[in-house]
Amino acid sequence: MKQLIFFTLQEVINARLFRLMLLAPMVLSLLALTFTGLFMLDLGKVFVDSMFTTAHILCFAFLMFMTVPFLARDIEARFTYVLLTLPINRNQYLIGRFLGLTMAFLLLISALAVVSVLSLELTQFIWDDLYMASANAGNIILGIALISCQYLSLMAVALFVFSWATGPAEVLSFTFLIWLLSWIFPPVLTAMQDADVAETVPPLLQAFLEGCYQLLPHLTGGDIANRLAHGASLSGSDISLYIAEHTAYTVILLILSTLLFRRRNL
Amino acid sequence: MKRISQWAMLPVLLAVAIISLAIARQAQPPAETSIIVKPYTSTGYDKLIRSMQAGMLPGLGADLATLEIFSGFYQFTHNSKELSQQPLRESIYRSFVISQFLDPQFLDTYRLTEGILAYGLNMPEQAVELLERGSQQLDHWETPFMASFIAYDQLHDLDRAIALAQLAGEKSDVPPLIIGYTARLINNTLGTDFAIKYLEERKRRLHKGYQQGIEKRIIKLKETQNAITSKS
Repeated sequence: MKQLIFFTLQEVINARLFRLMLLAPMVLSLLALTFTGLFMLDLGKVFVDSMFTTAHILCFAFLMFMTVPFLARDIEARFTYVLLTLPINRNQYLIGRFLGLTMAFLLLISALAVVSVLSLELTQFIWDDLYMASANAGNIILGIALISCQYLSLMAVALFVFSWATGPAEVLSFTFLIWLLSWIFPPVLTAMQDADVAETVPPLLQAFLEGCYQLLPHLTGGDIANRLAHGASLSGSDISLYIAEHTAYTVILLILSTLLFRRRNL
Repeated sequence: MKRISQWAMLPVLLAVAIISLAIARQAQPPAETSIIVKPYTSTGYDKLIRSMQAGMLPGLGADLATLEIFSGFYQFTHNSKELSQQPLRESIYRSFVISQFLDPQFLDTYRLTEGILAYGLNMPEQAVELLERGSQQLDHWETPFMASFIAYDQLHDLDRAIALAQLAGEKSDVPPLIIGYTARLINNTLGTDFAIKYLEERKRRLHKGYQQGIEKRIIKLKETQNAITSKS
């Protein structure tokens, strides 16, 4: 399985798109600096917001343009047959693929973290400390790490869809739908706590959303991004709960994927 | 050789395209600024839709709403048509509400509330409400202080101004100015002199493009002061 992990990593690194993605943080951080320059007072907060946006763009690009086509190609080109002829079982094949992709993803995230810290250093020559007070390297790195946790669970979603999908279109559309749901649903639950918003939603739907709000952890990615952008620190329990939540999603999806893939008629 | 000549043609064609575009632009009459005010149903829907759009990046949503305030105010100051002024003012106010809703701790929103909403757009009631809500979220004396001054200067609501000044006094790192200000408010001895000095200080901190409203208020206060002096 170790060989398959490194084989997958090699495949991703050799892809031209991935190399371009490794360069993208530099261009995106320049855009972030330009965007920050449009504001007046809270420049540190805007800069951190821009870096988190960059992280989401890169993670989304890796999910939709690297992970999904990569897995879809395994179905379409029947590449699975070639790999399964090696002395590995189906579970090892699936987990090996996932870990290889995860390693490439972590490489991308590390590049982004380095560029973000360098860009933050650059801002000290452009703007006064007074305006940049809320931005600090620790919070930026922590924010990027937590965003990547969320996308790791979305990569597990892509793998789960791959384990039963019949073609690339299914992998692409289902993964995108779940990404969209994860983008929209938690902010809606948080927004529902506002009296103006609650008024606009029919009572039955309101009860359903309130039920979901009570069931799910209240600390969303959006809240974390806002807190870190304002220079506030997150408590250890908040960080571990958030990581535990997304690790749990990832593990559950991996278990389901292996169960489905084992019974799949190839 | 043929290949080289093909490449050499590229900058020539590019130059021709740029020159043609420049000539075409020169020939065109200047386009009228058209004002598009976004469709609006209710504050709740507005907040819900913007939360969905911003998703995991509410801070970015607030930043974009602030940029809408900048562009809306630019249109407001450069548009002479009376008819479109009112919907535009309301649209800018909604951007303030959204920006605060998505990121209640974003300081630029509050700075603009004072410069644009209270004085530029002449919506002091809405400005004080917004700053009051912000004061509950921020441990920052400046926000309730701004609200207190607007309540005193524009709304002439002394009780509200005193309550907000006292709230400013409860925040951390309060300068001695607040204690003096609150005392003078309670004794109702603030006067136009203080108001002018305060507004001049605030104006100095704002970008030139957003000083217009405060400038108008300073002129008005100076006129009142002169009238009082000449009477006495």
